[in-house]
This record gives sequence, C-alpha cells and structure tokens, in this order.
Amino acid sequence: MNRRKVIYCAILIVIVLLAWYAYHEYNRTSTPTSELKSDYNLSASVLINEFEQNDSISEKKYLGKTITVTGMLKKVEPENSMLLLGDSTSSLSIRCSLDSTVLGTAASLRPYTVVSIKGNCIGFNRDELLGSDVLLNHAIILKSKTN
Amino acid sequence: MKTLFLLGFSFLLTITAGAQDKYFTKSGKIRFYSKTDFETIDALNKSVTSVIDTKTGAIQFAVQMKGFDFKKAAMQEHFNEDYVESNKFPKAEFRGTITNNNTIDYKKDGEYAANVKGNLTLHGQTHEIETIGKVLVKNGKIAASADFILALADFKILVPTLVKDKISKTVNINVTCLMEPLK
Repeated sequence: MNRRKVIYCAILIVIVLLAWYAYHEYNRTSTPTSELKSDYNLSASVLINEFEQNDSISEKKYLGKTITVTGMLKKVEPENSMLLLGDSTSSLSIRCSLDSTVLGTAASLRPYTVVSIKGNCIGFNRDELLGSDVLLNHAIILKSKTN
Repeated sequence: MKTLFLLGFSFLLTITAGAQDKYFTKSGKIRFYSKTDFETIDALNKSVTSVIDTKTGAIQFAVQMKGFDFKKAAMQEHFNEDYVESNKFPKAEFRGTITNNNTIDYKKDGEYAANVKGNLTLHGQTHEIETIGKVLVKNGKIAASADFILALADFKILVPTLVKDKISKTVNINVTCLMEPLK
C-alpha cells in the first residue's frame, strides 16, 4: 500500500515538473543582449573588411552570433532606431538596429564619436547602389567616448 | 550660344531627374502572421532594404531571415532552425515590377494602387507572386505597403507531421516601407 502511494506521488511530481518546464519553455522570451556573452569582440573596420573580402565565409562565422564592435559612429537615425558605424569615406557600414530597451538613448549620441555596440549579427546586405551593410539586431550601447 | 546653353541646361535636367528616380529604405518592415486555433505566430523584421525605380517601376526587397523577431524565443528558434533554415538560406529577396507604374505620379501627393508582380526567393526556392499594393506619395517620400498571403509549400517550407494540423499552411505578410529619394 505504502509503496504504491510513493510511486503515485513520484509520478505526479514528475508530471508537474514536466508541465512546469513545458509552460516555462513555451513562454520563454529571448535573452536580453545585456545578459548575452559576446562571441566576438572586434573593431568596425575589421568586421566590415572580413565581410567585404568574403561574405559567405563571414556569414558562416558571424551569423546569429553576439558581437561587440567598436568604431566611429557614422550616422544616427533616431526615426528608425538605427546607428551606423564605420568610416565616413566608405560606403560600407555596420548598421545597428537598437534594442527596445535603449531606444531613447539614440538621440543623445553624436556622430564622429567612438562607440562600442553589442548586438546579434543577422547578416550582410551587399548593395553596390545603396552601400553594403553588416547588420546587427537588438543592439545596445556599451560605452561611448566624446572627443 | 543659345543652343549650347539649352543643351547644357537640358543635360543638367536629365542628371537631376535621374537622381530623383530611385527611392529607398533600409528600415522597411515586414510582418508575417499566421493564426490557427492552436497557435498564433507573429513576427516582425525592421531591417528590410527596398528600392523603387520610379521611372521603370522596378522594385526590389532584401530581407535577412534572422531579422524576424518573435515574442517567444522557442518559436524564433524553431522558425530559424526547422522552418526557414536561416543558416542555409540567410536571405530572402523579391525582384519585381509595378506593372501599372505609368498610372502613378510620384511627384504628386496622393494614394495610388500598385499592381506588383515578381519573383520571391525564400528558403532557396523562387516563386512568382502577384499582389496589389499601395503607394502613398507625401512630402517627397513614398510609403509603399502591401498585404498578401504566402503558401509555405511553394517555398518547400516543411511543417513537421506532428504539428501539421496545428500550424497553418499559409502565412499573411504585411509589408510597410517608408522610402526616401536616393541622392
């Protein structure tokens, strides 16, 4: 009698744990960028160069990875929540789409300052007409230096 | 002298006219939405690149598949790993034309219907799509939008047998792009 009760209890506990896990997993939201560990830490020009030289190899390397990139802020587009890093004489940029948690901070940034951005690499858009971009998503600003 | 001046002036006109022909955005939005009794799938991509050549009606979109954001992380992971296989096929592209382009006056503010036809490449498959979109001309900018339906099977996007009846075979797509002249 006692053993059967124990077994029933154990099964019940397992079912509850499984249900809790399934519910938790189903409702899980993406880890915020601030809590993610960077897979790569490099300068904007190095990252841009890698993609420019060979986009398919670079895509395999960086796609879906968390990247911390440091470079010159080329342009701020507050209306699109976008920041552009790179050399202002080049048509290539790192285009960072700001995470919803830092939307307000874009307007305070000044071009031609050096910034460090952490974000998720979603790809490279090669475009001779518009200028090619390395694209980062859910970007947050780690630090910025004013000259 | 007069002919030289006229020639020079008309040459200048054509150059400036050419520069005004193309409109673009790199922050276009594409949302896809699919609803069944079992599940509602809703994802938004805010990094879409799009160009319209107002002279020819040629229109192009470039979409990074990993740029689609879902509220639920597990759904986003399934989307990328199992459905669209974004590591294998990181980009989707549309190349088409506004077939009634000559009925749209891009210099005059107003709302115009745009018949769009072209090829969509998604998950490595190319399929022709045709839809009616909207071009809203206002203050020198173009707001292009369209709503249409895609069938997953057309792009060999496979729904696992286990959830075959729970996940819809079609998705609703909404495109919204605010485009500025390319200088």
